[in-house]
Amino acid sequence: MLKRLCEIAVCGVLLCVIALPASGSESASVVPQRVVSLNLCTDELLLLLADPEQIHSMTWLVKDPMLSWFAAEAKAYPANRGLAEEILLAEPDLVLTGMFTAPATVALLKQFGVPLLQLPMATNYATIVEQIRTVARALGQRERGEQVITQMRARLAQLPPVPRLPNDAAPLTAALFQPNGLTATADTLVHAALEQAGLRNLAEIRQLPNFARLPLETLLYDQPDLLVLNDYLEKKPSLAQQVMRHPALQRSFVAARKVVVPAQAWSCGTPNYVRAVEILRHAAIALISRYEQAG
Amino acid sequence: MNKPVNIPYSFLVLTLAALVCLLSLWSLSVGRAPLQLWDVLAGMWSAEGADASTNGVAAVIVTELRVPRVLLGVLVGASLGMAGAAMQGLLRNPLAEPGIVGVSGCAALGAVLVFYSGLSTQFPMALPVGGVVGALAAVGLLYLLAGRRSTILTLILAGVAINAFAGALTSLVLNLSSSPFAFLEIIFWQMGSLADRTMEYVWLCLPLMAAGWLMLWRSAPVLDALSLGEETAASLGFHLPKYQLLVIGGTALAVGSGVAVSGVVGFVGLVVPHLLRPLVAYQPGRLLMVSALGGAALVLAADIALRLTPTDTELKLGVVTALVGAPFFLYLVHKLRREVV
Repeated sequence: MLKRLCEIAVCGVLLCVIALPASGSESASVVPQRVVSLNLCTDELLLLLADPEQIHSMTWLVKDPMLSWFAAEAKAYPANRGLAEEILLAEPDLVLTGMFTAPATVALLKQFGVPLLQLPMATNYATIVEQIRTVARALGQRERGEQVITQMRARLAQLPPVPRLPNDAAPLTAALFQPNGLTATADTLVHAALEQAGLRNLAEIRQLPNFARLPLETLLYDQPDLLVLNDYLEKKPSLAQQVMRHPALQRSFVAARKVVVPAQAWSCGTPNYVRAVEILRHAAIALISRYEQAG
Repeated sequence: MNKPVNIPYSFLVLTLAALVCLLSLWSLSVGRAPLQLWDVLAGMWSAEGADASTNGVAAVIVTELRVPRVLLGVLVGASLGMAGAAMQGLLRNPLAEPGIVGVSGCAALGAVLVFYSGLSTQFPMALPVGGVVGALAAVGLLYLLAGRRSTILTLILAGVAINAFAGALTSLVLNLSSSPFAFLEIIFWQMGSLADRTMEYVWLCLPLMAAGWLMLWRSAPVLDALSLGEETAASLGFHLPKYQLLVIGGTALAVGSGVAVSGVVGFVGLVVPHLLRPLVAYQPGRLLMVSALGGAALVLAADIALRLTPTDTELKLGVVTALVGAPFFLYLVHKLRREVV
């Protein structure tokens, strides 16, 4: 699932220049009362910004705590399976979807004149802010949107600064390493969070193409200062997971050089992204002080 | 038939062993990390005190990533080569090969069942055992369907059916698995790979594999006798059913435990015995040892070739052996057709 999310993310990146429909701003006076969401990320934004009475249904994905930190709130609302039939029957006055959610369904909804708001995948902090603003406006919840954005800004401003490294050294490097050796390249929230935390992404230094795998040998040879891991599905057996338990990986990265970021934090462009930046910034600071002690 | 080539047996064995050693060294020095062969060897000596220093990094990469890869390449290649030679001898059929007749496919099914059910997480040894049980089922079935006095056609048809069935069941098991990664991993099980394997796998498959080799080795005299026909072999005093079980069991142990750790690597057991047969004067018994060495060399060479190919994601091992093996297989079919008709 995570991999699929990543794929969607990168697809989003490739085509995200498509402008958002302007209909949201025009109809700001008309507050939608039956909103349906068809995408995990728009589910989260809906839960964050709408009044409970406005929500008609959201996907079943958001109710899974492995996928979303909004799972507890989402329990209260009916789930949809994203099929055009059930959505048309619900007669929504606004449907939120991702840019690449089931194209056939979306085309059908358009044909029936259902009001749609399609969001591309968030790729950095600026797009998160922009998307919160867009959805809030479409939901007639401008103020709540601004509140959320202000809170995010405040949390980021409160972060302790990254101390300068003693001898001019380049910033610390970090690499995300997921099952199958998948990493995250530029134009992803992972990359954005690493940069915002003051770290350099090894995948960018290595100029890996989108979707690239980071071969275990390259990772061990390049020795990034920080190994970033997602805690996801560790219990279920798969070959993809086996590489995470490779003894070479365990031997090369002591605990202090590993940091775990929950996948839910940066799978969608919500204020949870700030949590990822916080975790990474604190890990970077701890590592720098460790280096200073070691001389 | 080609003419036998006069090469002393011991010279041939030594040459092939030297080739395997050379390819092993080469394989140790190939990889994503730009290490020179010298660094590699130095890294291996200093492996004890491995830390984050440059030397330590080389040591970890060599000892934890590349050494298991080379060892597994040798083990799996030797098993496939030897099993191919033994099956061709037992069935007296030049197209018998673990991959083509479905033994490897069933071994993969057994390993997949054990692995994705989580059984091998609790009992690691269950993984090669699962592979062996799968392989045993296939060889047994094959022998029942097309064992004695079968034509080339019956054997291949039985093999195609077993292979297709095992492949379908493997894909079903992976579909039903709870892990979201599982389905894509059918590529590993059907095409094989030695990437990022650990020493644990070497220790897991080695005991069963060694037992398999021993059983095949013990069957060498009867394979020689069988080349004169079953009646002749029996009249020479060989108790045939016992030796048939020896070859079946040995093949299942060697191939099954290998497939459980590397996935299906096809065509090795076909190409190698065919190339080497004229060099041992068409004696099936002598062919066993040289095919084991030749198989190890072929798998090592394929594993080097795929790492030298500049692709973003590594090619699968079975892809490279198939690129060599499939045309060879077609050539053999063509040749046999001419001889038979």
